[in-house]
Amino acid sequence: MEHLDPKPTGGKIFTPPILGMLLVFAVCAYFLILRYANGIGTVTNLTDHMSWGIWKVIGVIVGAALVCGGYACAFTVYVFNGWKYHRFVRPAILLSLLGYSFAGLSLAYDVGRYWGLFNFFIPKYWQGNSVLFEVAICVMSYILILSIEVGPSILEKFFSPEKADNLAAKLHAFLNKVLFLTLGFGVVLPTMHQSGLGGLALVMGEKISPLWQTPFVSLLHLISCIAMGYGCVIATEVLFANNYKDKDQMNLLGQFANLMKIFVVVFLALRWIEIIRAGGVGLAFDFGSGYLDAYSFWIEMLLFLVGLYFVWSKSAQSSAKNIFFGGWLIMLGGSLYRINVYIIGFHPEAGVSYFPSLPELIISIGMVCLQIAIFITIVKLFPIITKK
Amino acid sequence: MIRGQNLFAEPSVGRRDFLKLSAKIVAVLGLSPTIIPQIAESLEKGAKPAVIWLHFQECTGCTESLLRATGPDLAEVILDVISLEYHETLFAAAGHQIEDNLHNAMKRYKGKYVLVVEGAIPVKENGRFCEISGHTAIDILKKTATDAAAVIAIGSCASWGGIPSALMANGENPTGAQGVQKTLGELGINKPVVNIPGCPPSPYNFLSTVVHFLNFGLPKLDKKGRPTFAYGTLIHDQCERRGHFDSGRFAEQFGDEGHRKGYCLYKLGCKGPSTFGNCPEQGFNEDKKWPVSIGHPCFGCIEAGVGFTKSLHDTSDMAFANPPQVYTKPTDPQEKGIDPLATAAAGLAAGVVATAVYKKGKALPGKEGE
Amino acid sequence: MKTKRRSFLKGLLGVGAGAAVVPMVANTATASGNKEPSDNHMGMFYDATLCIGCKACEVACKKANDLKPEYGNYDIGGINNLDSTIWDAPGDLSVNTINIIKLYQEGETHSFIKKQCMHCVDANCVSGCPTTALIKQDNGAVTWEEDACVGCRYCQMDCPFNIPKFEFNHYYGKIVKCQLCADNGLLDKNRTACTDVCPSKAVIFGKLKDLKAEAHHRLAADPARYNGQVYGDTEGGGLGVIYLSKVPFEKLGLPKLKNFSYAAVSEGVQHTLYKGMIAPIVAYAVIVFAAFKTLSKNKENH
Repeated sequence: MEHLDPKPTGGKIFTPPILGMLLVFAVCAYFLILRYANGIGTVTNLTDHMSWGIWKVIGVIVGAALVCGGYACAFTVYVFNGWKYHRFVRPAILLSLLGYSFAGLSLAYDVGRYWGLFNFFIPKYWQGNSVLFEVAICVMSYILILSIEVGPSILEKFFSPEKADNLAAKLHAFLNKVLFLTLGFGVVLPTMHQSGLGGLALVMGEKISPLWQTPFVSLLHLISCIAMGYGCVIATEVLFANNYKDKDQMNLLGQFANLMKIFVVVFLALRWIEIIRAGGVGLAFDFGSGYLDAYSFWIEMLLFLVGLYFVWSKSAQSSAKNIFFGGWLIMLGGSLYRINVYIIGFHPEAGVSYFPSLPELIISIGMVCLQIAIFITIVKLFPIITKK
Repeated sequence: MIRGQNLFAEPSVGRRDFLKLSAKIVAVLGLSPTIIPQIAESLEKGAKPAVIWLHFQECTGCTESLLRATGPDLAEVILDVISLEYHETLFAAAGHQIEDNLHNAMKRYKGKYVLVVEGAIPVKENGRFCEISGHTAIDILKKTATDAAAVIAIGSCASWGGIPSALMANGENPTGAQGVQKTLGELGINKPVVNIPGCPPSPYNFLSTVVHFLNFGLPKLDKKGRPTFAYGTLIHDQCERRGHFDSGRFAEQFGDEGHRKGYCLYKLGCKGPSTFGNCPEQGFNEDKKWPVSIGHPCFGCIEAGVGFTKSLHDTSDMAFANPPQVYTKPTDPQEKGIDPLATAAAGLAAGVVATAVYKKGKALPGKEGE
Repeated sequence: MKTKRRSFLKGLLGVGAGAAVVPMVANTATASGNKEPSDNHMGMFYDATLCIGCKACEVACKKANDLKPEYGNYDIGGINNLDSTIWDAPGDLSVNTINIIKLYQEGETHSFIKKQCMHCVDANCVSGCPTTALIKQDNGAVTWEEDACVGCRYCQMDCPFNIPKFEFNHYYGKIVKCQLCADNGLLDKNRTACTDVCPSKAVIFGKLKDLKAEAHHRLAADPARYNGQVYGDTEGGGLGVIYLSKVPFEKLGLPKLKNFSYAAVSEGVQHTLYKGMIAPIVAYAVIVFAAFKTLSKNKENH
């Protein structure tokens, strides 16, 4: 295998797409000011019954799962001896860092008493029985770990192999030396909090439909997030690839697609076993209930199944188009799964429903746009992407 | 006036009258009927406290309301129960003679007499708007209150200023009329003050307070110094027409069908919901009648900030809102509706992303051999 | 390649085995029995057959807790010329109303129902709150602590009765719910505002075990008057406010719950997975070892 180094992709920073995204973020910022001045209720459609909306569910739960590429890469490359994949690590870790940071940021505007977030640093307020507590601590720690893991790529801009004796170089060397220690956290922490993001549902009991509520909900979230992680790496790499003739890259991505396929199959099998065990099969066909459950369930299934179809065979996995579509569909399926668990399948009382308001949507979309713009900019300026 | 009785003739009040009066007072105080004999005894034979009764900016309505009580002849009983040492309306004496009475009484019963004040005290321009025998009301109050055991402010004027304190069109209280408690506070005179507002107050509110004081000390007072047995509840909460209020039946105009049917007078400006008092229970004129019972809304004469302040026919504020007798269903949550604009925006965003992904994907090289 | 797939499958097997533990754990959490209320767990007992719908409890509660009236957000309907600012007309529990009387009516049957926080013995909200903002007191009251609260609203998602309300329209909102008068001084005097004023003694206050005994006694003494069940005996793992009624409880908005608390389920999984932090520490050690091996093997390429 030819040895390639990651390099900044270069190019103009403020391209039209970037400017467009920043414009969307500007509108989002305006609504955020309103949110802080007047309270959450004035910019969202959240109610006491449907109290977690797209900010929590999409911004945090889906958002964290989508950027699981870093996690998937970390254990594939460093634990299961997949060194050949290690060129995928940097962009995946960077995207993870951004995704988790923004997930944390979205909490800063979603929670009602944001200064209380500092209580997570004060032992007197720690409530160890709470899954949400575990998730919060793990996510905060993981952001720190990710920063340490991203550190080397940022630092590389500030020294060269010839002049390698400044602070940046020394720090770079140190971080690489202790990498195996940080990687331990980089795998244990996401395992804990990704399953925890699913475990949040346990205490909600029967408020969540049997189509999604199960004692295995933590495991299901973990498995699906790994699948989504592979999908994310595939999608990101394909988007940044120069030409798709880089056989080596496509080969490796095809293997990732295969891994993704295995995890999705396990996920679907466990899902169906649990639905049957809970006696929820009838609900999957209850299209006249007045709720969206049945429809959304089958869309979720469809996304996974069609995604699987795209990456099923060896030859399919060798096609950039297939793995690209497959990756996106799996990511969408996993996202819809989480939205189903916490919003669509969440029935606190008969007759309540929720759809985000326009400002609420714009804030979410604006934050995503900012995230993408930052990612693209860092990729342009720092050695993250490896390509021929 | 008092039916055919010379006020200063030998009083012919018998034991029965004392019992009747005791029963009435015990009822007003809300105490157990078993203590009626005890009260009667104390009225008949108990020590008679000296009472000095001052009049300032007032119409004498409070005194008159006391005198109008008819069963038994209250005035006579009062004169038997208390030792009235100074009263400008009831005393035949005048001029220096009555002033001497006042000074002698103050000396003789120093520290022991009950001071009753009727009327407001003007404070503007050094209080020159009310002067009696050359002394301002402030001065007179200062002198008499200093040596009193307790002060009772009878009527709204003495309690918080009443009519004299009503603002003119330019927003001024022209004489600076204010109540006794406030004036004593400004003078730095610390005495227990009981306020018995009303225009006029029911005479039994006053009398029961005095009897309670004789037997058990001062009654329990609210934050405004008013005895809670009389002023502890909103008039709205005792009103016989409350059922109509709760069910939404109102008189809209004087003389309309609702008015004739005795519906709630809230919309005609009844200030019951913001006035504390026992008018619906006690009524006036021995007949238990009060304004609402005869079809006129209460105008809150008792309450500072309501009586003589709020317009007669403006709807009252609610001191405390209570729910009507209607209910929601146990399984009926409130909901925000679906916003078409938001749905459209969400659809748009999703569409943009989906299209971008599709286009990009299509442009990619397909399977080998495709 | 083969080694990689093999190690993957091994890993999957390990995960699967671990996962199989989960439902067993979830069941044992409940099979081992629900939390027992402490001896001095206070509570309330509402007998719907005695309630006359006078709402004195609503009024007393608002007075005791300094809550604002809610003007006219509810269509009382059928009454002409209604000036909706003259009544406190809450339609449901809200940030200004923490106790409400509702009416179920169908044909000739009707029943009132009082809704407020149930002060569950094993409360979901207490278990779920990440920052100890909701606490189960010794005397049974579930109280909210302002300084600890983050406003994450996980408690709202967890509560099987949808009780906690959040001040969404305040720039720095609070969680609002019945606190069994623990925060207004009445509970210390062994009273609550609503039970103080109930004219028909439909809702009474006392030690939970005494109230349960009384409820069962009433059921036994006059079974025809009730629907045969004390709501709150085992529902949700046991409640601090128990109910008797003639009308089926679901019709009164009291959901049909399992006889265990989902807090126990969630905590069971958490404690099994993370007991003593053994599993994470072992996993960390294994991963660090593997990573070290991988990195040193590929040092020259790094």
